[in-house]
Amino acid sequence: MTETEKILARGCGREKVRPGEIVEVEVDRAMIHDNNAALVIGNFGKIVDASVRDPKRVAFFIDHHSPSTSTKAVKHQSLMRRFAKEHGIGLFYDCGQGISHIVMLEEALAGRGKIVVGTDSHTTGEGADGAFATGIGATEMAAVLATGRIWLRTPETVRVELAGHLSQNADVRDLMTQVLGRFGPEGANYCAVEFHGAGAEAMSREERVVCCVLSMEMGAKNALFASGEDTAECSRTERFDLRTVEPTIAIPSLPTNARPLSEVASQKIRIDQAFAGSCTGGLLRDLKKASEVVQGKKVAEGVRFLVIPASRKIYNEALALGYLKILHDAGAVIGSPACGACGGHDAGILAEKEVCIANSPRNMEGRMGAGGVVYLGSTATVAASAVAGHVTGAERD
Amino acid sequence: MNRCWKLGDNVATDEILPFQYMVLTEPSELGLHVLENVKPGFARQLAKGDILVAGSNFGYGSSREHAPLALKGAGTGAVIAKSFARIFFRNCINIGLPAIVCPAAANAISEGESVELDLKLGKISVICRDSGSKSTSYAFEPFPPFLLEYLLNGGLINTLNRTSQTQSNTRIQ
Repeated sequence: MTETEKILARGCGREKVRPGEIVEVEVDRAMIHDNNAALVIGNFGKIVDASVRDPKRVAFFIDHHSPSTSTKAVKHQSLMRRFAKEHGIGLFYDCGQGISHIVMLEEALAGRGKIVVGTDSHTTGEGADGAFATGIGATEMAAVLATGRIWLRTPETVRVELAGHLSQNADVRDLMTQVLGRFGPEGANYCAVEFHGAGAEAMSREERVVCCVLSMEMGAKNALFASGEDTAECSRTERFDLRTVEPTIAIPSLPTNARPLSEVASQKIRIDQAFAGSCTGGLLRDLKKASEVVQGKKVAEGVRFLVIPASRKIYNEALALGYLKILHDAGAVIGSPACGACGGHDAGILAEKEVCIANSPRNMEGRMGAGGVVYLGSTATVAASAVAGHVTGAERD
Repeated sequence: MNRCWKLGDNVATDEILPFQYMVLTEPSELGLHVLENVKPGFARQLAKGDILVAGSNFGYGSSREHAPLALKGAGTGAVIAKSFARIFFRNCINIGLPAIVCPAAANAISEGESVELDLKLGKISVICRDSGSKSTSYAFEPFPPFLLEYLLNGGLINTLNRTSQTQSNTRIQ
């Protein structure tokens, strides 16, 4: 069995599960954030005689509108606080604590072999530590709160085999844009994605998060780094040689539209905003890289460079290490830990025809504002573009 | 008589329901903004019971249930597609909106045609607008019985409540 199959077999109390089988599993962790909480709580209220089955397994996060930017959003957040108090949900991460996916890893709220569901598609990020983690909707989450269980179709497993190591010029984000480009937007739809090979084993936890979150963009049900080499049968294997990965950009309006950075940079596409943040781009490694690129330089005139650490812990570390000071001196706007900017929920909304370069996961039409367009690249690319005023790489003019 | 509306591939939930309306929770309110940026005025054109016919990977991206709720609130009776993004598919079933995978029908049906759906049998019949008679039909793989029940009951929550009611009635007896 693949790692995913082993986790689901344990979750439903069976020796073995096969792809295609529908199983009912016990949920180890349920994550709900402020963008979907009002619908979850509303649906929960419609369940007759409902009580929260196991409040200790539930975690609430206010990370999409943090702090709130509208009267409706703030009402939903109050509703969350009341609900949590009423039902004894102690794991409550309020405004400014950071992005659910990252804080859950920091606080060890998921972990190897656990079954995690969240009202957010990028819940797949918990697979960095070896959890089966997947996104679900609000109605389903209301039922999970009440029953503690969920049905799942055992997915086929796609194996991504990573050989060698990235060159100094390339980043895991460049690799993943190439992976997404090869699979396409539904290349792994309904599938488990498991990362293997020497290149995968050598990856840091931060790099693993990037891989697991971005697997969602090719449709993955879950994505994870397995605990060791296994030879289980997979429905598909794709191999990537990390030594040959070059800086890569996803052009508008799909994260899978992979193009070599060199090709895009030659067009000198003028930018209005550069954004380093989110669950794929607001990690400590990103703040370090961004500060290295902009050190001693200034953000280009007319460009706003938004830097949003993914969690309070990361913010504090970046502060202590001097990264934030360097970024601030270069002219970056530092936001409080949250994830709203990635989807236009709070900071950094684009006007019509504006262009943004970002290291966040998505660039679908209207993602950061109606009529605005988003290019996706590595943190080095984002920071270099912020300084240049057009889409470019860190080591190019 | 319902009307079919055609949409392309990889239509994302970001497009189905733009981010600024995610603070809304009422399907009728959400429905006013369905596909607002990519098909301006669409909410006003959709009539109750109309069918969306989309390409592959419909509902790509974000898990926001606001997207299928907006479609339902705007009157959509069902979505037929070549394929669906998985969270969107689950969300549709959970709110009682039929999401039907049928590549042949998604290819063949033209905008403006009418269809009749048989969820139990797994059949889509195209209706001739002039005569009202059924012409071509397409088969799709019927839903597993427990999911069909969600659709027939109007969603997951209704099904949960019915099941617990049946169980408590059994206990009383």
